[in-house]
Amino acid sequence: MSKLEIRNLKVNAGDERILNGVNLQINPGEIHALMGPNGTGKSTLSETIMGNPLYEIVDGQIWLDGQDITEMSVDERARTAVFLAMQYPMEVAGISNADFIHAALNARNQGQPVAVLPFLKQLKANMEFLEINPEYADRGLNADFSGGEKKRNEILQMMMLRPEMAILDEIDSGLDIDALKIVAKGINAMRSTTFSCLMVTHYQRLLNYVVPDVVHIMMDGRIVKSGGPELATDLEKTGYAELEETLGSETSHGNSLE
Amino acid sequence: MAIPLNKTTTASYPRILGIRYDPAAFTLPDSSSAAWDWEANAEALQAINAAGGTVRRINGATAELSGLPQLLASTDNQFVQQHLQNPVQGMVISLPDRAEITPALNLTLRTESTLPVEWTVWFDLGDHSRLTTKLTLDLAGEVPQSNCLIGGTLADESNLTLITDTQSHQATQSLLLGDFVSARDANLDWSLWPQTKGQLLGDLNVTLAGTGSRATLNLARYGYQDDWVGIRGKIKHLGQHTFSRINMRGVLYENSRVNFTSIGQIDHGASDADADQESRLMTVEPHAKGSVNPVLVIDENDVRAGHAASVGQYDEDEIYYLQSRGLPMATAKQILIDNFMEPIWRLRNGEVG
Ligand SMILES: Nc1ncnc2c1ncn2[C@@H]1O[C@H](COP(=O)(O)OP(=O)(O)O)[C@@H](O)[C@H]1O
Ligand SMILES: [Mg+2]
Repeated sequence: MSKLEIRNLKVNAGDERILNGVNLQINPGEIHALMGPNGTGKSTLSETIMGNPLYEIVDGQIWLDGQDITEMSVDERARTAVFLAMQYPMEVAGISNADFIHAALNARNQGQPVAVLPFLKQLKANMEFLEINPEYADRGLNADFSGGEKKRNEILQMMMLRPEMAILDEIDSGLDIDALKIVAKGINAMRSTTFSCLMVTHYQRLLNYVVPDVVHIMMDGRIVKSGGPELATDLEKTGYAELEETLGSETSHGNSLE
Repeated sequence: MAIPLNKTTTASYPRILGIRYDPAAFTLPDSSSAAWDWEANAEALQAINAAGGTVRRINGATAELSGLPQLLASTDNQFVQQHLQNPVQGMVISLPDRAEITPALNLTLRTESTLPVEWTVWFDLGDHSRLTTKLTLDLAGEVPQSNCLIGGTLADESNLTLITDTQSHQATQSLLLGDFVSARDANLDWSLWPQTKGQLLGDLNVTLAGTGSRATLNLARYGYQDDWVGIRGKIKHLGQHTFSRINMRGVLYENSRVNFTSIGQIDHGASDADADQESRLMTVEPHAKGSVNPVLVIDENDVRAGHAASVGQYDEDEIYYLQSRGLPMATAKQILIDNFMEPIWRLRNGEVG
């Protein structure tokens, strides 16, 4: 079970302030959607929660079940609870998909090897569920996968690793409608009282298939509006530009460095 | 005492582009009297004998070896000359025409000596013959210096797949010389893992003399504390429609130094030659240093030639991706190191299988 609390988070990338004080709380069992125009800091927030060293926290905290995780290394965070499906997953041809997932499971199991046969059985079942060609188990990790195949492979990893807190950064981008439905099926299969999730997306489309509990809109490195699923539907009609206008007085433009 | 050099030739120490070394460090002080043994798998020995071929130890004679006197006469490499002016110690593997040997020959030369070691492993393959050899040179004692020459002649349409591992138990100064000449439509696949500790200087040469001959040189090296490695691989195209590939990869730990030079030379007349090379080093630790120098020397118009080279650390983004799944730094690094070396192992294993 994981409760994520982010308080007044300010983050720099390079020398530039990207996040200007983000506040966010995700309770166990909840799925939140984070929407916003390109370049507003959605990936920055996702990567900062995971601990990507390219992003520097200058103020604020990230709490997971009452524990500040900002001092934890990336792999510690992963072993504790956090999973990040990346916008651009890496290709590592020299390790097979199956071996990689097995190694990740071993690492989470206090270094004790996870029995191979049950693992392979589970992998096979999840691959079938996500309609991934069984041959991909023995292929190099993401090697020569299409964009859509990589996304599906991220969901496969999530289903195998069973994190308590998943962040899915534009898991829907580059997917056709069939692939989107499969990915949504995977996310919905994870839904439980012990799983919480932050779905970052640019479009409302994914939210038709995975209905979020809460929707947040981010602009200029801040969450400027939160609401129910209807917020996403409204946004789809009006577009970001109009929202930006209506919020104009509340939003600080030009990324003021405080 | 240094060996008296043959003053009548113009041989000189190879100028290994980009690699600075001291020739004296790799010149054996006197002719070797180190004791050594060899062993090979009976299955392959029987198959070779049945086909009329031989695998035998030599102590001294050179004249009988096809190609060796020619090499001595023609080489411009002073190390090769010094090597051949001493009594030749080592192994000769010869196959008559049309001998196709199915079981792989696993041949090991081992010494537990404390004296310098000088070995020659020479292949003499007849027309249409075929052989796979896994050759291990094992400096198991406290060998201060070694000088090993591996080479031979591949007659028309013969095929040699050679996997060469060298290892030492102690830091040593090793010289690794290679010299193969291949005739029409002959093929050489040579994968090397020279892993002797200490200083290693390699000069590996293949001459594609006949029309349609082909050679691939794959080399992997891991550098550890105080290792200094300089290796040059050179494939010379003389014949038309010849084909060559050089792939070298190194992983550098601690304060190791590893330098690779690869040369594809296409002489005038070698039309429709195809030469390509790729050399890459991964520096795992900040004090490790290395260089790669790919060189193409082309004296013919109608050819295909290319090279790729890189020296760099592992990719931080890839480390991050692996860590984000819970893998500790050390495991993530190891995966990327194996990933980096994988193309060489794949070539090597493909050849065995
Ligand atoms: N590693 C980085 N170094 C420098 N600038 C960055 C880095 N990552 C993101 N940025 C900048 O931060 C801003 C927000 O980017 P990002 O978080 O990727 O936005 P989003 O995911 O909402 O599209 C952009 O202006 C982007 O150029
Ligand atoms: Mg993004």
